[in-house]
Amino acid sequence: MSSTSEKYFTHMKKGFKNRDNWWALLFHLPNLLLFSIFTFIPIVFAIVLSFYNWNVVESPTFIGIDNFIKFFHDERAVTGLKLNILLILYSVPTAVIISFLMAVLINRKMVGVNILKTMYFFPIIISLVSSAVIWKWIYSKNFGILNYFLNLFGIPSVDWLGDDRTALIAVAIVIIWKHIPATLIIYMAALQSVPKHLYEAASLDGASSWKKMIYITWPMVSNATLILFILNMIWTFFGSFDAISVLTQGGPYGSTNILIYYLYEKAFVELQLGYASALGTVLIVISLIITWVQFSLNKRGEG
Amino acid sequence: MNLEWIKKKIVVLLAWLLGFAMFFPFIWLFITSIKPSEEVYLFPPEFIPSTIEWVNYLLAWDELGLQTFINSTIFTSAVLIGQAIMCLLSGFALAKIPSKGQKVFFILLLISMMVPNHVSLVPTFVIIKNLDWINTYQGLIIPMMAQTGFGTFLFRQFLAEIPDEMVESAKMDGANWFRIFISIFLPLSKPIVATFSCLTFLTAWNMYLWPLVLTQDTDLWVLTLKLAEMGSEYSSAPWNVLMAANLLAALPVIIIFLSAQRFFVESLASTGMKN
Repeated sequence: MSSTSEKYFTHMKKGFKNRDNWWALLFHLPNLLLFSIFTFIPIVFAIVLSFYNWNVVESPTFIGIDNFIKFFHDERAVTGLKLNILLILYSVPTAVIISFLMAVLINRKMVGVNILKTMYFFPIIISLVSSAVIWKWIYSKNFGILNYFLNLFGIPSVDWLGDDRTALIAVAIVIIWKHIPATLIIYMAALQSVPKHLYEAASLDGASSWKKMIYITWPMVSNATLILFILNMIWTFFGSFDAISVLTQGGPYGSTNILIYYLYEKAFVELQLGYASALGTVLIVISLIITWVQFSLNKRGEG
Repeated sequence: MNLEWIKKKIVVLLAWLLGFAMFFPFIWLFITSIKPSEEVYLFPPEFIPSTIEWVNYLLAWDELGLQTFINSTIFTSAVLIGQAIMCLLSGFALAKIPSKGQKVFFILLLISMMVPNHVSLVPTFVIIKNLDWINTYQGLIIPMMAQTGFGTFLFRQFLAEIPDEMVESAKMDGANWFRIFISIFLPLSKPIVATFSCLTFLTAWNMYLWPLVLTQDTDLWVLTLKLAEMGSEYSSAPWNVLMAANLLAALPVIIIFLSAQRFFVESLASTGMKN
């Protein structure tokens, strides 16, 4: 919470009215200029552009909501949205549950716990592009270490990225691996706030570690879980472009052509800027819905 | 008693198994990067290479090119420094200078945080094109520098915690707002600037989409672009060199992370994550 009270502002205002407005403007000036031109105007522009037909060569023509009608009839776009949702279903619950388990496991005194933490955190620091390149090598059909491990258990080699039945799962595994550290870090912070006496009381009643985890820890961090579900959804929804771009480029047979990758293709390969902007506006609406759900759930949690 | 001991061992084993699963890609990255070329494409794979080929790193360095490292460094430091200055100034004004109108600006900044970058990709590109900034450093840097929503929010929250009395007493002494900012608030902002720098460094160094859209010219490529190209089907780079290149490109962040892991983790936890 801020300690800068309303009282402070009214008190300060008495002395220096106009001059303070100028000072404030001066402090905001660089930020205001750059933010307006390169962040805010593009967002507004994106929404406006989605009502136009524009293929760069000709000048834009106003077509009303045709782009949005086109979206619902564009099988690849709708499939893209579905694949996005599928990717979220594959990756978000898994990432959250594994992170929770890890947080509980390392929330104790243990030999080498710091090394363990470093191992858990490591994927956060490298770029998604690097991660995808490493995993591409792991997934390699003929030389991949993953297929080697599977063969050890008698499972025949799989063409992970080349088979439309496994490609999205392969992408999801990279996403899960990349998102676990951040999720884990927030869980670790949340575990600190669980009162110790609850565990002590449970120990007196003879509860096992497993029971403590299920009946004390999991309910006590439910707020964090909720936030992490939503954060992971946002990260997966909007942050998977780099991975797709390196691993599959939307393929095979469009099985990983999620909406953001499709938008990129429409805009910068096919140069349909109006339609691509309409896809962007669909994304804005989705992110606003996610944010709205987050806010209302947060409010419910606090109230 | 014995059962309890076994249970504990299982928990420890599970923790290390998960750790191994998380870290294994990096082990495999390193092993592959030091393999001689003829051992890379063996199946079943060798876990211990017969000789260590450090020369792969030299080849990777040549393949990546000094210019790519320089570009990544320029891009990251420009975005970081530019954002830090703008966001600190703005955050200070929002926290301490009483003025109408800036609330509207703050709300716009917050809204921009919720809108994913990809949405405004096309219009930003159009604006940059009209400025004739395609394939230039300013075109690469400035739109990413302009993503000030998160930074301004972070600094505002931090500076608002500093007691108002400090402003009031400085005002009594006749200091103007700029003096107050420089002599009182700037020195106090060190920890939050460090947090901000950690997060922004990571984000900017690892950024891919905007550089991809903006730079057709390979002279302006940053490391992520080069790595993605080397990892594509059309590349002739062998996997051992590619893995060495991956490690080289990530080295700056790895060094920073390992030397300041605790601080890094605290930054991430305290800000509830960027993005």
